[in-house]
Amino acid sequence: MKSVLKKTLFGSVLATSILFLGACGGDGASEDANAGNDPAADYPSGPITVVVPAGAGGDTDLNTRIMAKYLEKELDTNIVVSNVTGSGGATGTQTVLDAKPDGQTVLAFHNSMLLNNVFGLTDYTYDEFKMAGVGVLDQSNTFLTSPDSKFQDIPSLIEYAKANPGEVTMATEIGSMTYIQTLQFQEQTGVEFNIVDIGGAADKIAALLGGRVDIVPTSLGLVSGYIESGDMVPLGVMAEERLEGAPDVPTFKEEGVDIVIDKIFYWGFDPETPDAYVEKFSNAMENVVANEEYQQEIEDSWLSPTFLDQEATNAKLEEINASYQEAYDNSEQ
Amino acid sequence: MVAKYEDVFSGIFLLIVSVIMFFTAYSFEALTTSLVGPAFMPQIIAIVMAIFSVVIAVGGFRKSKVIPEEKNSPEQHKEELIVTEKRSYKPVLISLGLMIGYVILLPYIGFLIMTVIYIFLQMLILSHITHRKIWLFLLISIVTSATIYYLFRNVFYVMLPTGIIG
Amino acid sequence: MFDMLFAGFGSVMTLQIIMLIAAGVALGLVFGSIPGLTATMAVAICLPITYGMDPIAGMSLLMGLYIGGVSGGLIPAILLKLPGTPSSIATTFDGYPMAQNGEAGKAFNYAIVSSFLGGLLSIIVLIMIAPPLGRVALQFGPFEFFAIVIFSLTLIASLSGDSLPKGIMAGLLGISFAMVGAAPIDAFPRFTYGFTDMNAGFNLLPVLIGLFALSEIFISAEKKVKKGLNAKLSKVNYKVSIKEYVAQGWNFLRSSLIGLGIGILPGIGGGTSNIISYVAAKSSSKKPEEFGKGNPAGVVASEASNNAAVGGALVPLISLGIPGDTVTAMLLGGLVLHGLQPGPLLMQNSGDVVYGIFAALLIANVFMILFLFMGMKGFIRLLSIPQHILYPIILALCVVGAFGVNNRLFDVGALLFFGVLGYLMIKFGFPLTPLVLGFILGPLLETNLRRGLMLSQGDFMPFLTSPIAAAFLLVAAASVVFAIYSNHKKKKGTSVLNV
Repeated sequence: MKSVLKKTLFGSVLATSILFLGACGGDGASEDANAGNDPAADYPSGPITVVVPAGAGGDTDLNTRIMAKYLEKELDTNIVVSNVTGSGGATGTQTVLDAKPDGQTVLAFHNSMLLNNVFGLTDYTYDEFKMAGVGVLDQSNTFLTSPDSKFQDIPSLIEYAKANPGEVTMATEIGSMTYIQTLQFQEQTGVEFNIVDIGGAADKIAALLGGRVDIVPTSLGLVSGYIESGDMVPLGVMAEERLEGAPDVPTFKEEGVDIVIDKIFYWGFDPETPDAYVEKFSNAMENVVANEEYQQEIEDSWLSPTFLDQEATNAKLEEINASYQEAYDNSEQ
Repeated sequence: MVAKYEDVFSGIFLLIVSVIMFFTAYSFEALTTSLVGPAFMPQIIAIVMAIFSVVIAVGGFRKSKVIPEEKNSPEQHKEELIVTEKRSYKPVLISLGLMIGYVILLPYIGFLIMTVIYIFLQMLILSHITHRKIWLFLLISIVTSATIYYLFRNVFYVMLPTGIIG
Repeated sequence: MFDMLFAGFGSVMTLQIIMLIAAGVALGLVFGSIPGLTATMAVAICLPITYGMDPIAGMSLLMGLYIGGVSGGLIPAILLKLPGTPSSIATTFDGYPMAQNGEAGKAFNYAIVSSFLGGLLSIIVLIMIAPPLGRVALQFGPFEFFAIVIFSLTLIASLSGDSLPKGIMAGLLGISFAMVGAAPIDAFPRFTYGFTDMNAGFNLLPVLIGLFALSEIFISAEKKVKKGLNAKLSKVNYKVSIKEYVAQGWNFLRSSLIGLGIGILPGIGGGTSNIISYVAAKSSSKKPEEFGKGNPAGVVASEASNNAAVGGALVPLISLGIPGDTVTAMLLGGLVLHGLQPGPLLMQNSGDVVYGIFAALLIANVFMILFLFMGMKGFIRLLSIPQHILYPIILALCVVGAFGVNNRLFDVGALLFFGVLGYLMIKFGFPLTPLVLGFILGPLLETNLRRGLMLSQGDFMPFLTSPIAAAFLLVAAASVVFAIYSNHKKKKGTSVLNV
């Protein structure tokens, strides 16, 4: 309904501008010159499809939709979020690589793409894409437990887990970010968990509330309601510094476990997409991140609205990839 | 002929499928090591399938001896009451070919054109010779295809392939 | 509570919101009634439209879509034997025979009234006791889900028609097809034979509409039907007396409770509730042989339960922030995008929105029954459109629906494959419904088995020592024994159900 309206409005604006152009036929030369200066003047040529390789309603989906909402205004086009799920996100990433490299299809995803490569599910990784940049960092990766568990902080968890190897049940999704975090934690502290696959974020929350598991690794923003209600207790965050929104939650580093993980939500194009298009898109993202409304909306979910350009995104991804590869190699030994 | 031995055929076919399934499962990769890995369930299912395919085949063989030529017709569609022609498999195969062509050409020619062609031809195949109103069919196929295409691409943003007109 | 609900009604009783709910229900009905388009798709498409609205208005629109989308499936199910969504598979069993007997109007009356009452009952339960029910749902873990799935699979016995082995085989095929693609837990692909397109596996929607809708098109190609389905069918008997409704009372209640219960459990999904209720209605009936031939009880069972599952699925979402199926996952996203924090505190912190949602649900339910009754005569007139005109258009819509699932042409190819499979299965006397049931339940069976064994570190005992799991496994065992016994007994009897 609203989109119909939007379309009609867009149509009439278009019609008016065509009339205007027609009327000012004499100025055609200068128009052409302008177009010649801006190689991305014809971009975007229609609605842009954002492929999200995760289900609707999760954090990947939500962060993408928030960004998309603002990008629509910046790029003056419709942005359609398309959830392409399957095989740990590999189906969605492949969809973008298979699409026409005309900038009308873009991928919005996070660290999991690197993991699919590290674990051998895909033979390509982040460097296969032309990155437009990052608009959100999630620095709130955390371990949660229930209020009646035997450990309420990291040191007591390590102590208990060392005394009872294989007893503490850790809820993950095999092959995902939470899985590699668990491997890293085991490697650093020398403890041994009973690692179980529970499923996605919602399944993990249900398992912890139902008392079936001891620890759930997830993002603080997804569970702030349960922390407030006292149903869950955060053990720490895997960030450099404590979060502004949760000053009481210590970092893993403070507690002597050197794990810092940023979940980065990046946007990437097929490698053959013209640079000018990607740059225009990247600039639009930068403008969105500078928008205070956007910042507020992201901060409400305890995330950091941070813009990284193409270079910085690739550097960050390379760093993350190296740490994942190391953790995986260590676990294989 | 086929009808008489249909259960024997389908039983044997499914037996082959289950054997292939069972052995394919040996090559599955896994991230975790446990007794009940990714090959466990497929192999259990393959074994049970093999058992039931034998049951179906044997049952079919017995039945073919008991009732030599009578076709047991399980589909008693009520529409048969108003059927005017004998059933024939030729239009089924033509329809299938048409659908395959439709799906294969969809990304190249585009949804709009292919759907007009498909709907029109499929109407011709399904209709009886006395009911073939070429112009009506053409009109319906153009109007419905255009409506679906416009609605889904521009209002609902389902990015149907544009093909050559894009 | 009632003052909250009253306030909730106050906040949605604006012209704008009422119009949004009505538009949502109408669009939902359209999506639900067209084979290939679903409630999930309707909600996905409209979610971005709600960004600009205030939370209550946005959520009201989505609730209208949800109710409409689940209810619309009854129209093609009764008229054309095409289940538009998994939720209306069982409606075809008796609804279509009723329509063929000239009782399309009656079938609609039963279906619409049970949809309304089933929905109403579940919404009332949602409003009254969502938090404690949500806590109960949390008690269900891998062991319990595994047992429930085993129990549900035993229903295949009652859906097998003439041949029990063929029904079981169809169920096994369904489980096998669901195994194609990334394995649960390990995520490495299985049975893809090197085709990366197959890594994501088959999606339920192409499987369902391929099996049921495409196969029907092939069958009609065989026979060249001369006229419209039947002109005289539209001269129908509409009247259902109060007495006839009352006779369905117990059946209605049982089916609604089954739908509610399955809806509440996150992870089973409402798609199977209609089949389970149908089997329950059939096996507790004194005349099970009348099912499948146009018994209104079958329509009531299916339609009461699928609408009751709507309220059920909202229970864990509202009380705990846990979505149970794809639609509620999107509703969860909708809540977050409107700045609400789903979780146990949602009712406390955003009570105004929650009660606004409740009020919107009740209003949407009323619009649903109104629209369906208003449109009923028009739907029945669809029967006079010749099949050779209707079916090609339906196929084009199925292609759109299959493509829309993931924006991939692979799913369109899968649609065709399952169409051919469905046709061959009908020709060789295999029932289709067990395949769909196996396809839905297979992954749940495997995933919960493996998750359970990880939790228990390889021990099978908890599957038996959990009281809930043990109870379901016991019932499952009993129903297998019963099925073998009655199959033996009816060996020479008539077929009970042809699907």
